[in-house]
Amino acid sequence: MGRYIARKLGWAVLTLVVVVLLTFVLLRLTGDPISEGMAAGGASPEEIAQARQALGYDRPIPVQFVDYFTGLFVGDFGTSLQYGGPALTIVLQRLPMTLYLAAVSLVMTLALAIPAGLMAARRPGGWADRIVSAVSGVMLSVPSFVLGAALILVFGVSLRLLPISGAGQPAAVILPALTLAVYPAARLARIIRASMVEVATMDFVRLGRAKGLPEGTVQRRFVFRNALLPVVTVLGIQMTFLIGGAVVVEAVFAWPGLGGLTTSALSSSDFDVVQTIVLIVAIGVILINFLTDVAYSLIDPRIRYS
Amino acid sequence: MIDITTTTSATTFGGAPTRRARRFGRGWTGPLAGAAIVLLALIAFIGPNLLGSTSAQQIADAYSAPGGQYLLGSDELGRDILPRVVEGLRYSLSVATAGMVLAALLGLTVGLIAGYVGGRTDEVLMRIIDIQMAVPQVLLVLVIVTVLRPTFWTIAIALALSAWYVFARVARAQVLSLRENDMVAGHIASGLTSGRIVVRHVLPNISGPLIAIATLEIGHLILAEATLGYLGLGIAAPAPSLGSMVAQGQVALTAGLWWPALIPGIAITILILTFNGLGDWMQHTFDPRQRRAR
Repeated sequence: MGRYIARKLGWAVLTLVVVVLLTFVLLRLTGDPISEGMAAGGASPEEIAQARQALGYDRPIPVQFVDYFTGLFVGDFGTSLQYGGPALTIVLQRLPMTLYLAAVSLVMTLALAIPAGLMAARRPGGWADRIVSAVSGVMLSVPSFVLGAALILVFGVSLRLLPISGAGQPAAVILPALTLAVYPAARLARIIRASMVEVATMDFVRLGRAKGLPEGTVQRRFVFRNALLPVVTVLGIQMTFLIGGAVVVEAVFAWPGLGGLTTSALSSSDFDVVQTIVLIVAIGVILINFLTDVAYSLIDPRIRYS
Repeated sequence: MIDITTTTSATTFGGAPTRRARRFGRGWTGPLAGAAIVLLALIAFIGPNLLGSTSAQQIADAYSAPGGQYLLGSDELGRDILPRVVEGLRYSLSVATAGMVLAALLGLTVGLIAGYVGGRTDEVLMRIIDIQMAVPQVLLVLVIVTVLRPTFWTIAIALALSAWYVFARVARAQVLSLRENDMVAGHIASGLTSGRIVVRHVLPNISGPLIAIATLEIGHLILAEATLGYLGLGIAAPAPSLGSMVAQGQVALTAGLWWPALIPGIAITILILTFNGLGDWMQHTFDPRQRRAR
């Protein structure tokens, strides 16, 4: 297990270095933000040159990268052009709100998907199965911002039940979290159903029934436990989706998290902030994948990492 | 390490062991979705010639409800929503298809090489995919499009770069299983070059699953393009993108005016639904492993 973790950690570090390098090069491909922003603001060429020199944008890109990269190790993630402060501080201020949204959303995902998937699997081809299949089919096709708009209309405008914007009230999290949860819940419900149905046809399940175990015990101990592995895989994938999906959902509901910061940083060429967000998100994705692997070995004693 | 890619593709559309349900669930969804796609494509590519202007403004008619003079209503500038949605459909279909083709070209090349050559090459190429997976698709597309400035082709390229690995993985997995096949071994024995074997004998054998993946990917890329438009980072303003229409329409939602946001929204949903429906159906029809599982 120790060697396994060490190897995983090595790959994680390599991945992060490549991600940082590629984002850095990509963001600097088309000139620098200073010249463009200041020229638009009516600054003279001398002023622009001065600002570029002050912020280090006049040096060759490899030099800039080494400087940026070494800075990362002492916690210097660059400066936000948009807000003026250190990029890391600005990103970390917004991060808790996104994590909160994602956590509430994850709970909703499980609360929707598990009952739906189990109900559909109980009688494959039955009416519950067909309803779950049809509803999840639609849910997998509705863009989150369209669903969000529809929820705003119904619960915010027509029924006036829930807040539709910002994070001022405790109930404000409900609509964005639900919007974010619908897609992963539909994916998860389908995989739970497919996995349960597949395992249910296996010989050891028939053996369990033949031994005269109650159906509930067979389902719980034989079917559900064995059906869990693909479910955990998809859950891991969907959790990484939650991070990406949050960018969009936060825009719909003006939720003050990383998503809104991402779009504003991109449209104002605030590169250091974009860079920091990409790095933080990549760390999050790697962490989720690692936890998924750990969950495998907990669920399935046959899986041992070495 | 365990290979989990095969299980994750096993999402089902309906799916039932009873004969009645199989006939009901499988038979019609695919053809129906296919017909809907043809119909939508016809509307999208012929419609703009028949309908009125997408930019004519009648400020006096701003926010006309659907059903009257304007079949699908009008927006905040009094522009007719119907021709704008049709134009948006055309744009959405074109850019997603272009992105899919580019993604398939890149992904197939990488996947075939990785699967056929194997060894070190395979390992490096698969690691590149792992690294890319650490950045969510939305974020990747947003960054690329912002850097390259949004035009039709830069958006198509960004979409392709966000989706190529799906093709690479499928192609690689299929080649790996075919490589051990007697047919390929026979061709190697008879002295055919690798390139010829891949193009003439491997590619046709894996085309079924690839067409299914391509269909599903068009759906995903339509969503990605619409998201770009919604976030205001898509194609520039006068061109009607369905996503940006939803964003503009959302302002009026609080006044209970639903059509400027939800009509383009419904159009995107229907478009994605048809590609998902056809793709899922094809995946079941073409994938013998899944057929057996039922």
